[in-house]
Amino acid sequence: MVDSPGATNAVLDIRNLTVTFPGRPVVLDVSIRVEPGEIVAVIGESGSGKTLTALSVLGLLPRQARVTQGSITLNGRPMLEMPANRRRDLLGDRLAFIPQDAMRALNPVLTVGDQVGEPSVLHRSSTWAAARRTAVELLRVVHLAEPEKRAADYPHQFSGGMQQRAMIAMGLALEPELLIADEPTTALDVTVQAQVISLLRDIREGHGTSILFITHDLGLVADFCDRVYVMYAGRIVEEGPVKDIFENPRHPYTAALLAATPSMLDPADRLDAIPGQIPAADEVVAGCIFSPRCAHARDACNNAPPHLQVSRGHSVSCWFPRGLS
Amino acid sequence: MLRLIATRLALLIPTLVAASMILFLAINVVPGSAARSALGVDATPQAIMRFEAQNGLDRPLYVQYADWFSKAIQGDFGKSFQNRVSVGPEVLKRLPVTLELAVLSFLIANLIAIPLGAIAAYRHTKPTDTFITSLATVMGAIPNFWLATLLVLVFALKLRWLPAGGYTPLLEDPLKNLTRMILPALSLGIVSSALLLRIMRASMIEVLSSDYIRTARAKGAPGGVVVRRHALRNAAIPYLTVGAVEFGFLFGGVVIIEDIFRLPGIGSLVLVGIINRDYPVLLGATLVVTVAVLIANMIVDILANMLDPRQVRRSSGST
Amino acid sequence: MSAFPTLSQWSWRRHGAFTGGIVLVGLMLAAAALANWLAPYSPYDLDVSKMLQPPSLAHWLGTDEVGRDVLSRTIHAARISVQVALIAVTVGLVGGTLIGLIAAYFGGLIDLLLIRLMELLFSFPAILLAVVLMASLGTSILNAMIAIGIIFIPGFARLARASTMDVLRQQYVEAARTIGMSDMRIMFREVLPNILGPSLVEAAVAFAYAILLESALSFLGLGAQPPEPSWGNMINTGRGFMAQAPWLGIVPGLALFICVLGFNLLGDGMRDYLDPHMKE
Repeated sequence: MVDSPGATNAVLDIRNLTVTFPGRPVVLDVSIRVEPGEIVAVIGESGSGKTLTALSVLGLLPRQARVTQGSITLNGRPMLEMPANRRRDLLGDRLAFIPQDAMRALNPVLTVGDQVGEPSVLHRSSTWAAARRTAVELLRVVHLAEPEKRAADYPHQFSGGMQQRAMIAMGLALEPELLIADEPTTALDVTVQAQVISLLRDIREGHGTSILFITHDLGLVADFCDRVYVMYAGRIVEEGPVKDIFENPRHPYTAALLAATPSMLDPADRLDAIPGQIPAADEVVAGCIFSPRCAHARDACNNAPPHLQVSRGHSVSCWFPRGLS
Repeated sequence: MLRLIATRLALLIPTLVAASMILFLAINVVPGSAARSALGVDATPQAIMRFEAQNGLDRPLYVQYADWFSKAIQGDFGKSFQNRVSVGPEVLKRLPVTLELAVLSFLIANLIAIPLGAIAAYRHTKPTDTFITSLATVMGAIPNFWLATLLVLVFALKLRWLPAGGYTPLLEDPLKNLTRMILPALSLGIVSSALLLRIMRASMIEVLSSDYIRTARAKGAPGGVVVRRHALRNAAIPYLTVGAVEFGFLFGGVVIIEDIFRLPGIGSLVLVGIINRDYPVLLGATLVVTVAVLIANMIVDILANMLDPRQVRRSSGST
Repeated sequence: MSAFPTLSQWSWRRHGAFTGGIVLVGLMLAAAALANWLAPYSPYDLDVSKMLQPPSLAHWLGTDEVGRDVLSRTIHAARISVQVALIAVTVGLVGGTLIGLIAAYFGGLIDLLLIRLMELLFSFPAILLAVVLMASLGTSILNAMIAIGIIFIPGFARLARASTMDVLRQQYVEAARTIGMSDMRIMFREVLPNILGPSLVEAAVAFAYAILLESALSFLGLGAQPPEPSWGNMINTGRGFMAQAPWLGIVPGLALFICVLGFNLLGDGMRDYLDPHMKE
């Protein structure tokens, strides 16, 4: 969203990213920045393009997807133009990914210890014996009881919470600059969720690791993240510090999201409160993408996509932002 | 683990018994032919009756079966109608030949199927995949006895690199043995590899689209590592389970191939049994081949089980 | 079965394998049906003075060891292969489908017994069983048809049973039962039409296999007997003359290969096409 010129010491700087599937854009002109030591949240419903944005950073987009515009830098390194082998050097080392469903993300035929230790073997020329020892330590760090025993276990022997913690251990292994967590708590129940969140927070405190936290659960965002980007239908509709967004949501969609969250305890958020649905990705919308569902839409909203309105680090893509018109 | 093998073996026994019953029935569907074969077309009705009385062929079927069965479990498989040779020892003598052929063919088939199947899967939707898949389709349509004939034409008659038939025991002279086994093994192996290739490809494609492969890539693992360390073992499990059906085709083909290359194995014994209507021989030889197929299936089952940590493992519990 | 696309929607290029299959199969069936008109000579006319001639204008594929025209014999052999395969597959399809249908429909002990029997038969190598059956039945084309047909029954039975079990879960079967339809009628009017799809795909593949089995049996001298031409026995004879007249063994094998390939492609194409539509 923000085309700010000038030097950037951001850990992650995504600018004007557009990703298309054959015939339709699924991520449109998205810009996201993560500063060192920040925890940045990207919120949106499923289908809003948040996971695809994350995969673009990693270079792991599905076969049919294409990046047609934009740039991504990781601490200054240009990610999109990078040759594949150079990117492979970074993945798992400087940049780590924690996917949504830990059970399916773990290889059933390898021990947890081997999988957690693998980054060391891949990037630090470690021996497997040493890597396994490292894995035990990492499992201890993520608060897994009896890590020596656990390391020799297979993923199917772990509970959901333990599996997710193992994935986090895998991500942390080489102290990355940036951790991308894609809905890491969605498949977990509430108490385990809280543990995982607190773990991530400890990681940021302890190592200064920046985190890009993707979720659809507003409740989690409130007391854990620094800044928030709100995505809708592949576009960023609002961004700003967490406090500002929660106290003063400027975009009707953000406001509706907040209103639709009954409490912070229900992880399976569904936006039934907002009538209508996300437009089909190949629908061409002339004006603001949200106007069909917006309770406050006016004629002007359907003519052209709204410009950015900036105020004190808080931007919104709306013709008539709440509280300002 | 041992418990697994024991249960599988235990299941094998009733299957074998049932199989022997079916074979016995199949052979005896049409009465009278054994005697005529042994004695020749001009045999007199009296000679036939005498022959049948001598060999107990005039008794009711279930009596014949019971008699055969009781002797068989003691290891006595009767004597050939033609030349009165004991069937049991003859079968045993020929077993190593057939086993060697089967093992070699199996090896060749897998050496072709596994790498090519994996490559095709890795390069799915690209030209390499189409090429390999087409190759598999073509290979799978080749009749193994025709391939054998062609191989003999090229390598034995034209190039004179290899002999056209005959057998030397492995222990006697390994090199000579292999030169005689390579063409037969290729005839069987190449055709078998086609189906196995498809199975490996399908299995690997499925595995490569899994989340854990994405995790491996997200850790920066290069393609080779992804396939070898992460994908292969996972793909092997369904490959083994589904591919086991190929054993039936393989051992079936042994019958023809041994005939073509004049290998003194059990397959050619089956043929002899048929042509001469030599029932004890036929029964004994066919049963042994069936046993081999069943055991091969069992071994593959156990292997697949061992590869998968999710099967009955002493779980150390979870939180 | 689901709706088929109209001719204009069908992309021949995308379904290349299927197309190839249809072409080859069509060729083979034409050869089989029109053998008498297509073949330049009679497959039985022998003329020893013309034996073992290489391909020439008079004899496009040469002559065999007793002077018969190889091309004509190859074409007539197609007829025999197709006949045997047709009968065999029909026997297997009808017999197997009935058994599978009955087993799944009545369930319980009947199902248990039948399924065990089928599994057992299925575990035998097909060629062995064929060869053993031929031993007792006697060697002839008719017996080959029966033997191969019997061998196919377990495969079709398994398939029909699985399909039937799927269909039985559907509601229209329950509906039929509640209005008092007899078991027979339900089986044949409600269930049978819906399980035919996968069975037909299996039939195409089985056709190829039947042709292979028939040739293997003839090769071993257990199927079509001389002077009847069968690809199998032609290859066998050809083997003996590999040095002087290689075309004798190569040509029938090539024809066999093309035929099997055609049916395999057809079966694959049918499976690719019908499968995605059937998983609904």
